[in-house]
Order: sequence, then C-alpha cells, then structure tokens
Amino acid sequence: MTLWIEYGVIFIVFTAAVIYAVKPLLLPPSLDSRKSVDVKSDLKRRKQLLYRQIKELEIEYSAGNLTVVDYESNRQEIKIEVSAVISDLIKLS
Amino acid sequence: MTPIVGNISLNLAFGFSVLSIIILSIFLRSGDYRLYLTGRRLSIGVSLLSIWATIVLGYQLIRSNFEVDYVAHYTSRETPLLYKISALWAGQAGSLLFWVFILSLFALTVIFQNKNTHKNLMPWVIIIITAVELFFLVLINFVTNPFLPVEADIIVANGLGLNPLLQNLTMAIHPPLLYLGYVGFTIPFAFGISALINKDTSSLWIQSVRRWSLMTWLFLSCGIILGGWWAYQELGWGGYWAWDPVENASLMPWLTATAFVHSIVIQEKKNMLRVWNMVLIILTFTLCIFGTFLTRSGIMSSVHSFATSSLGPLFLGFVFLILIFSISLLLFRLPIMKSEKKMESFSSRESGFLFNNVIFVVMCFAVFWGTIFPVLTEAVRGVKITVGAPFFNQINTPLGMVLLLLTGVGPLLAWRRTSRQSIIRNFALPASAGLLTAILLLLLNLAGYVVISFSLSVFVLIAMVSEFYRGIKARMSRFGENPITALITIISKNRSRYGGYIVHLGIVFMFVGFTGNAFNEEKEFGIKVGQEEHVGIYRIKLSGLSEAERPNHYAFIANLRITDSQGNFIVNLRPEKRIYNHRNPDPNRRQPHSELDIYSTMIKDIYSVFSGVDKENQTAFLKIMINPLVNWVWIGGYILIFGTMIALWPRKDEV
Amino acid sequence: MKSNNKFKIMLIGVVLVVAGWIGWVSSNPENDKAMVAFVSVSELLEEGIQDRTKLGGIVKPGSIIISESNLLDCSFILEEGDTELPVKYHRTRPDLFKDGAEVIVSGVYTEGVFVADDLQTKCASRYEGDLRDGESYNLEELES
Repeated sequence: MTLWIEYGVIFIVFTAAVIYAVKPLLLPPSLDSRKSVDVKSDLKRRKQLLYRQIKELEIEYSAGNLTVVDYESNRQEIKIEVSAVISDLIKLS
Repeated sequence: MTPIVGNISLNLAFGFSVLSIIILSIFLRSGDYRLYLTGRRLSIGVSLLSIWATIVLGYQLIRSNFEVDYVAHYTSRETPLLYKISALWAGQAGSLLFWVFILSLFALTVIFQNKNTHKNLMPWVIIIITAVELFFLVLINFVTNPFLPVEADIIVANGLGLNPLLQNLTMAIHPPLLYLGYVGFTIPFAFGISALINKDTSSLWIQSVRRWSLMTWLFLSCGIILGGWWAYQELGWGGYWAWDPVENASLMPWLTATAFVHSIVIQEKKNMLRVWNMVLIILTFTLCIFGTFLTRSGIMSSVHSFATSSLGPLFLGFVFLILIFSISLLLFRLPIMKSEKKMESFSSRESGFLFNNVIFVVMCFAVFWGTIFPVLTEAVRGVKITVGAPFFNQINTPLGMVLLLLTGVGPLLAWRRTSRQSIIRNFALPASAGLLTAILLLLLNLAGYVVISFSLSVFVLIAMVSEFYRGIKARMSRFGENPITALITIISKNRSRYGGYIVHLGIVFMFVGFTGNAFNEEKEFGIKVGQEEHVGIYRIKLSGLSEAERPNHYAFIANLRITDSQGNFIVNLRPEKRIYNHRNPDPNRRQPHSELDIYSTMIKDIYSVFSGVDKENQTAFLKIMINPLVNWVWIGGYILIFGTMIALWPRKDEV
Repeated sequence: MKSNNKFKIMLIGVVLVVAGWIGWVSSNPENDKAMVAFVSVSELLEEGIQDRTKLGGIVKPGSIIISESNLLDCSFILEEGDTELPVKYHRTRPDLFKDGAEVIVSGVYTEGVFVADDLQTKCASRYEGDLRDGESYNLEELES
C-alpha cells in the first residue's frame, strides 16, 4: 500500500519538475539576449585593476620596499596603460 | 522513503542531464533564449534529484535498512549514528554518489550566483558541469548502484559494520573535505573551457574563478593535512605521510592547484600567462578525476583487478576524453590566447611566480611518475616495480628546498621590476639571518638538508616578518596609527597579499616539522611489568597492565611511566590494545586495534604503540618513537587555514 | 622580446635539470629501498632472486607461530595459489594481520626463508567483506 503512495509522490515530483523545466518554452520567442563580450565593462574592470596596482605600488614605496627609480618607472608604465584604457573608454562612449 | 525512491531519482537525474545537454546545445545553435532557460532548469533538476538521492541513501543508513546491500556492507546496528552517516562515503558506490552530491551543491551555487553575470559564458559552463555530473550518474546508475538490494536468497540480520580504523572523527570528516577539494575544481575548469570556446580573452572570468579556486584549494589542503593527522594518530607507524598512492592522488592536484592560485594572480593583474593558466586548470581538474580514479578503481593493487572491474576503464576513458578535448581546444585557440605582453625582468614578482609554478608542476610530475611507475612496469614488462618512500623523498626534498626559498624570495620582489638596490635593501636582513643560522647549525655538527631547511626557514620567517614590519611602520608614520590598528588596516586593505604572507608563514612551520623527521628515533621491545627500557634520552617503565571491557571492544592497557635520563618524571602514557567485536563467536570477526598514546610538545612527541600482550608473563610489547617537531606541522596547518581565510574574506568593492 | 627568450631558456633549463634528477634517482642502483620488484612466490622460488623483493599473498590459516620469548618474533607461511613460502618477521605487526589476511611483505630471501623487514596488510579502507562470510553471526539462510 505504502508503495503506491511513494510511486504517487515520485510521479507528482517528476511532473512538477518537467513542468518547471518546460515552462520557459511557452514564453513568446525571444532571441538570445546576450551580447558579444562586453568590451566596456571589461575596460572599466581593467581600469579599476590598474588603479589598484598604483595604490599597491604606493604602499610598497612608502614601506621602503622600492627605490625611487623603481617606483617612478613602474608608476610611469602603469600610467601609460591607464591612459590607453581611458582613451579606449572615451572612444566607446 | 524506500530505496526505490532513491533509485528512481538517480534514473531521472541521468535522463535530465542528457536532456539538459542536448537542449543547451540546440540553444547554442539556434540562439532561442527559451531553450537556454529550459536547459538551465533541467540542469538544476539534475542537481536537486542527485541531492535528494543522497539524502535517501543517508536515511537508509541511519535507519539501518539492511535490505540495501550498501547499508549491510558498511554499517551494523551497533555503529554509532555519526559513523552511519559517514558510511555514506566509506564505500565505492556511496562515495561516487557523494561526489555528485557535492558537485550538485556547487552547480546550484554557480547557476544562481551567475543568473545575470557572465551571460556569454554560462551556457557552456552549465553544459560542462552537467556533463561531469552525467559521467558520475552513469557510473552510479549502471555500474555501481548504491541502492542495490542484497541478493534475494539471504536475509541480513545485522550489517558488517564499519572498519574500526574509520570510526574516528577525523576519518569521518577527512574524505568530505578532500571531495570538496576534488569536486570544486570542476567550476574553474568549466569557466576556463567556456572562455576558450567563446574566444573570451578578457580574463574577466578569472575574477570570479580566483576566489572559488582559493576556497577549493583550502578544502584540499585541509583534507590532506587531516589525512596526515589521522594517519599519525591512528595507524601507529609513527608518521603522517607515506607516499601511498592514495595520498599521492590528493597531493598531485594540490600541487598544480597551488601553482594555479599563484599564477592566476598574474592573469588577473596583467592579463598574462593565459595559456599557462589554462594548462594548469586542465591539469588540476584532470588530476582530481584521476585521483578519484586511483582511489576507487583498484588499479594500484593490481592491473588485473583493474581490468576485471568496469569502473576503472570507464574512469580512464573519461580522463583521456577530458585531456584530448581540452588540450585540442587549447591548441586550436592558441593564436588568440597568446598575450602580447612579455615578462619584463627576471627580478620581478611575476618571474618568481613563474619559477614557483614550474617547480610545482615538475614536482607533480615526479609524484605522478612514482605513482604510476608500478602500473607501467607491470603492463609493459610484466614485472611490477614498486616505488617506495625513499624515492619520493630523494626527489622532492631538493625541490621542496627551492620552493621554500621562493616562498621567501617572491614576496620581496616588486611587480614588473626590482632594481639591484631594492634587492639588496630587502634581502640584506633575511639573508644574513639565514646565513647566520646556517653557520650556527654547522658549528653544532649538523649537516645536509637539515641545515639548508632550517636556515631557509629562518630566511623566510624574517622576510615575512619584516614585510609586516615595514607595512606597519609606513602606516604609523603616515597616519599616526598605533601598531595594532596599523596591522589591522594593512591586512584588511590588502587581504590577498597579507593573507598569502600568513600562508607562507604556515608553510615555514610545516617545513620545520618535516625537517624534524631527520631526528626520529624508534625502538621496538618487549618489557615485563616493573622493568625499564631506554629510548633516546628517555626511560620507559612499564608500571602495570590493566584490562577493561567497553561497549564495543575489550582493551588491554599498558601503563607507562616516562622519565628523563635523570629520572625526572615527564608523563604517564596509556596505549591500548583493543579487540573490537570481542563478543563475536567467530574469532575471525574479532578485530584487534592498537590505540596509541602520544605525549606531544613543541620540541618532540613521545609516541607509544602497544603492539602485543603476553598475559602469563606480564609482558607488553611496545613500539616507542621519539618524533621531534611534529607539532609544528599541525600548527603550520592552522596558520595556513587562517591565512587563506583572510585572503578569501571578501573586499567591500567586490563580492 | 629578448628577455622573453631568456626566460624560456631558463625555464627549459630548470625542467631539464629536474628531469635528469628524476631519471638519476629512478635508475640509481644504490638506493635499494626506493624501487623494489614485486614478484610472485613461484617466481621467487624458481629464480632464486637474491635482491630485495616484495611479495603478496595470503597468510596460511594456522601457520602463524609467535615466539614464546619475544612476542615480536613471528613466522608464518605465505600462500599464493598453490605455492607456499615460509616468512620470518621481527617487528610490530599491523592490527589486521591474522590467519587468512592478505599481506604484502618486503625483504630478502635467504636459505629457504623469506626474512621480511616490512609487512603491510591490505588497505584499511577496503573493509568490504562478503556478506555470506559470517553466516553464524549475520545471516539467516532463507528456507526455500
């Protein structure tokens, strides 16, 4: 007897799962909403990372881990990268 | 809830996973978003059904339903509740189901976390995760089903019970931790492959994957350390690492994963090493599957038992499939994956990371070579050449020393480039401290790796401490903070960096502990009540033998009084010789077990094993070991966990 | 560009050195405990191998003799198929060592006796017995 109840429960769960899964198919057709790689947010992210690197460099310098020469040259390089990223961002908008 | 429910859930999960993969593939061709939603929901269904099946099996175990073969094999009525649950991962079928269970939890997390992010990557991520689930579901459904009933002609009154060696809290949580580690790498792998397929070179996904990898790495580390701890506390041979194939199986992915969590930082920061990182993540994931294969297929005991079970070939086939698929995909995408940026200088943090990566991978290869060598020689030459611990120790000790050196050197190098002046300034103190230690140790008549290891440890220790010191000092002079707030601010502003340094400190502790092995002393002897024996500088006196009957075993207890050479009392140790199932009429079912006793200090452990008893002559047979510095390994482990947690703690601007 | 090539050369150098090191350790004959051949009992008896070897087999039920004077000294007969080999072992025995246990011993064969210095019982996580084994205790046969 209890076996019947269990099969019943299984059946209900199974149907519910199938309905849940198939439901989106009943929606009106919509084409893929994803865009190709989002260039803009990538650049923004890159900018943020570079800023963070500058901050870290400053901390290292203030901790005395770097000489003035190292500090200046590294900072200069990152700045060049940042300005490239920023100009790309401006071009996009 | 009968086993049938579990069985049907597994069948359904299998069907859902196939459907999900098919529908998602159609979506990738047609671009109809509705299909994506359906495929995703089906995949969610796979996870929920697998989780449900695991719960059903757990329920059968708790209820001791011996109609299920698995339950009858791994538990008995007397098994305590905790170990009834842990029997879930004690046997083959159960542990494979448990694998899917964990993967399902991870899959649900990833799917819901990325409902609106990584839209371009998610379809393939879901396909790959579901495909891995599918593989394990095939195994559970068709090869080794945990819900199989016992053969029809017998009725089982009581199960066989769980091995007493496994009835131990550590052993109950060690496998799940290891599995969390093994399974967790499916997610970074899925993201990496998806990025490859989508020609996504932005490395944006690295961000989401980095924390995930670090968390998984932490699980794997905890699992490995706990396994060593269990071996040391329970197995009674006095060590924590035997280079056993099963241990190696967990070490190999750990080595490549460690390389990965380092080099992924370079990709995140500079979008470099993209190809190399893909190689690492493919290797790590493959080794995780391979590890499950090594522990579960029985290939290590013999090639013949491997050939007769269908599980082994299926696993091996899956491993090759993953490798061929992902490597050819990587080769195909090589032109767009190569980064334009180049390494700028040898003396940069990047290059330090790169060298550490190479050493980790080579070390992994050495372990791999030693592990499968017996299998290879048996298959090719018909003679099985077994590889022992000396082989692994000989190869890995010098490599370990190089890694230890890099642990200290890396953090002292700046990103991009460090000038000679900076190098001299940063290295002067740690290097001279290391040298001084070396000279001192040589004067103490020590030699070889011991000297190298201890002096390198001092070098790294000083390097890390001075990093903290400089950071604190800079904050104090700039913002006028007191040392403690300064420490807290630098850590909370730079979690991954200082967390990493703390992990490195933990590694130093562990290396100190490993080096202690060189001074181990061991003695096996028989001793009468009242007699005394010398081991190293200690005197061991057997002051009495006692017996005790407990619920599931009978115990002989040796009362040992340990004194030093002057006769000063140190400690009383009471190792036991236990007989489990002592009431069983069949003597073959009685199970002897040595419960050892350890006196543990920072300097050394006194480790006692009661190996045999001669009641007539009032004699105990003992193994006593003096193991210096073992505690440092465990403390190093705690520090490692603590450091990783700091690195994992989310920043405010992330999450 | 130039520095990148230097890098590659360095890295390849590191890999080659380590590969050589692994090869050397693998083939080093002095290290007799690092790599040991696993042979069958019949191979050992027929070929009379003098080197260190490893053997697997079953402890012949009833063959374990533990010395009266020193419980650590023990001898037993290792069975592999139809062949038998007397084994001596003088160290702490693993808990799972008993009649009928599957063991792996390593040591040297001299004058008709295999002197083992290492004895392992089959892996602990394979406690998987046969449900039919312990009839008296676990099972009640169905009366058909």
